[in-house]
Amino acid sequence: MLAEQAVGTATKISAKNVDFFYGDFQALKGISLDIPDRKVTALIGPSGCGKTTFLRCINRMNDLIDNTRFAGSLTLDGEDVYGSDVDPVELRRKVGMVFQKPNPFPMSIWENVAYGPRIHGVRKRSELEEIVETSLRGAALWDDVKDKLKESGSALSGGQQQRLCIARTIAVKPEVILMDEPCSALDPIATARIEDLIASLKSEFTIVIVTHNMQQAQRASDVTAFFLHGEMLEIGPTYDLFMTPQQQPTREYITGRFG
Amino acid sequence: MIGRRILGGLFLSAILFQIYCDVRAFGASALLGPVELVTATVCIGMFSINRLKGSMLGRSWRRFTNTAMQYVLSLSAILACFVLGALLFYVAAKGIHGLSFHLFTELPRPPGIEGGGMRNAIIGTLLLVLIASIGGIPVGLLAGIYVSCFSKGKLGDAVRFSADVLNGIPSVVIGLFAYAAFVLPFKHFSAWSGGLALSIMMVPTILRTTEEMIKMVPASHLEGALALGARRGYAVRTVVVPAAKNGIVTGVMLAIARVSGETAPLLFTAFGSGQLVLNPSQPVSSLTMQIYQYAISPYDDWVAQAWSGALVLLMMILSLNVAARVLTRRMSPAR
Repeated sequence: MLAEQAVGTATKISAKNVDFFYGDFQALKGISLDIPDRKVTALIGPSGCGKTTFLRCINRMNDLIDNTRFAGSLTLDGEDVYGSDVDPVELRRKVGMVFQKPNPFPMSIWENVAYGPRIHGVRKRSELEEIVETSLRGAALWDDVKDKLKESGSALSGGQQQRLCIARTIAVKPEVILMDEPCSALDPIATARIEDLIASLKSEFTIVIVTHNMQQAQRASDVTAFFLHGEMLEIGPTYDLFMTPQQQPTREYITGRFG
Repeated sequence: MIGRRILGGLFLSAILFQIYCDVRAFGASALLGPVELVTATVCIGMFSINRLKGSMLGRSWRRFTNTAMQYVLSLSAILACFVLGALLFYVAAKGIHGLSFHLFTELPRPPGIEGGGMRNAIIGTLLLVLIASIGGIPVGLLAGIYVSCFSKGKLGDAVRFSADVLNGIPSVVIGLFAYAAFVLPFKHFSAWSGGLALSIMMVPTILRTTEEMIKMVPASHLEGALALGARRGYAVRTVVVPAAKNGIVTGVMLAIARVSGETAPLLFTAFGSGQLVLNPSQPVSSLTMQIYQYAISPYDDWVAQAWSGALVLLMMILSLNVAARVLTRRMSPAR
């Protein structure tokens, strides 16, 4: 059972009393949670509850937004993500991200996947060829695109584009993959393929996924955290959280009473 | 409503002032002059429209104004195109006779001697535009990229504002500045100074279009690249700028087209020359200056050549514009 799988694994990411501010607005209030290694952790909650903000704290994408402030502690493998000696660029190599809307670069499929490895110093053509193929296979896209690697990435369908983005992310061999509502722009069939993909990726990667879709959280994740108004109300093995929520708002949200 | 009143008031006072001047100068018979007649017609027209409105039912009145306004609007649109068409036709009609091989291959001859061409001016224009491009394109491009991708807040606003102001500065003033900065210190006119004056004019146009085009690239491209661990500069260079490339090229071409038709900034910088000059530190001619010089001359064959030169210049600029258009159209499906 899923609940049992979630128990007894090492912690990959640990947040303690994380606050986050956009100007004067406090988007996160004292978030403390542990994300287990090589599991899928889902963050659920109504819009504006801070789950995407928290996700973007993990790879410091929020640094790009002006006038924001982070407080508290966030560690990856015990090392402070916001430490003064941490280079966000190095961090993002270890913590990849897949966005809500598929965002393939305006270049060929091959170039899209090779983009990340190239940044990190892979120059040899043969090596790149190999990474591109394994990454596309890893994202279950190889068979669809192997004959048109030179074509533009934006010519693919939405679901294929999102798998291309996943291939692009795993090409840099990150340890963690953050997914920000990766299926919200996709139809149910494409969504199912992405969920299958997530299941196959978790043997290698720690995955954190933000979703509005509670069925998706139940299907795809091992651990679920429920966010509301910038606070994390509850976290637990997905099965337990959905079957026996401990908090009243959690119960109301997962039964569709609000949100 | 208030805007309309002010506009109408200004218009009316301008007309009344003109009528007053005419009457003072020519006496009462001036009331039959063109301005006066048109004014009278318009007044009578408005008066009768008001009478018409009073005599019609609300609905048919609305229908009448609807049709009338449709005619007015489409006439204005046609007029806008017609002006360009008429201009092209007129220049072509006047310039086509003088258009010969010699125009491109021969140098000007002294007045009274048959023949001669504008080879010096054509080469001069190309030389000036080349210098302007070498100076203006990199500065405009890099500044545009900087403003759209790297600057935060105040500095970006300041650069944008200066670019807009620079864009509005009369070209003759820019020429004067170039004269003081690039001609006086060296004590002679040169293609360098003319080209640099033109490059000053190119910078704001290129800066603003580059910025606008880069703004059109979805932010998710930049975010995606950064999330893969790209440094900002690398992400901008490899993802953002290539995505905006076609639009930027279009902007650059339009800027080139614009400055290649300039006269004022060249008058006291490049100055003009009857010789074929390739040395950029010597004064050179340009098509625009040659056209001006020939058009105001009393010699018929020079005036004819001025028209041909104008035709050549128009064709050059027109083809740049068309090329820019084609490029923009190619750009659209790249999303």
